[in-house]
Amino acid sequence: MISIGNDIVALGAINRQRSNDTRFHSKFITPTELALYQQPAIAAMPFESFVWLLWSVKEAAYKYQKRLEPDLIFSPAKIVVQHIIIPATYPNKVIEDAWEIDVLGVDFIHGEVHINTGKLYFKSIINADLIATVVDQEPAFQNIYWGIQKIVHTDSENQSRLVRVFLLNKFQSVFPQGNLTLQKSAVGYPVLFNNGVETGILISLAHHGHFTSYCFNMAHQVLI
Amino acid sequence: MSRAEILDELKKVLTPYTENKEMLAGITEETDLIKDLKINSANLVDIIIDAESQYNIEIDFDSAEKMFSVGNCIDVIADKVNHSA
Repeated sequence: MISIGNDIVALGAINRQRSNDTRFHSKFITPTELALYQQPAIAAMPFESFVWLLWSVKEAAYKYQKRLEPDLIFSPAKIVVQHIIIPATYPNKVIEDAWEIDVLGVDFIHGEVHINTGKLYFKSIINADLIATVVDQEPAFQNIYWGIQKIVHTDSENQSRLVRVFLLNKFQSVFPQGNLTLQKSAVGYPVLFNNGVETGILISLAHHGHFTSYCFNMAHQVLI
Repeated sequence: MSRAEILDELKKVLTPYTENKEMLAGITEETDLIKDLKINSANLVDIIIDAESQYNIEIDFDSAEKMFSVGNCIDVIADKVNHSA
């Protein structure tokens, strides 16, 4: 059974000093994960970026798994990042006001994360402003669409509204004649309806600070 | 420390992380930190660290994962406070 999960961390909204404090990061980073920072390619990033990259992967993996196991509780220390690979060509991507990402591109930070007995794959973007992650059950990330948008007002109501508008605008090209609405499932993930009929498209939304992000899986539909 | 006293102190811990101050003033043990108070999950660890400082306790992995509602937070804090007393 497939699912989807994403997360975004706005680096302007985190406490950098606290992020570097062992008392903080030891609440969710395991010793084996901390050892990953010994690798030169990973240690090239600021430690707080490493900390929030791990958080972002864990949160995205939790959202993926929560859809499959509705009773799952978020236990970030039990979601363990196994590998982090940083491509030599990894660019410091600049996010415009709205950005749709070709997730099949190879220049992502990527790796594996284990949750319960399952293994998931992640792709992440890190730049000066944000860390964003999407997870999938296959390393190829086929049929995954991913967008990031910068917003002005950071109140949660605005974040929640704008990420939905961003996503629905994307779907206008898929369902040009449709009447699209989003509802929340009992578990809390978004469900897309077209003319009152559930589309079956798997969607995950995230927001933090001045950034929102959507991702969706169109494995069984055709994106026009 | 009674549950009511812990709840009172907990409001101070949660204040920096919720914009919904009206709901915070009226929280009950059933209030969910993320769904009701709209606290971003990225702040959950901040809340645990601040609660540790506020009550002079240590909250481990297993206890931290239970702290998703106000009532659960009070359960964990009361347990730790009583054990360190």
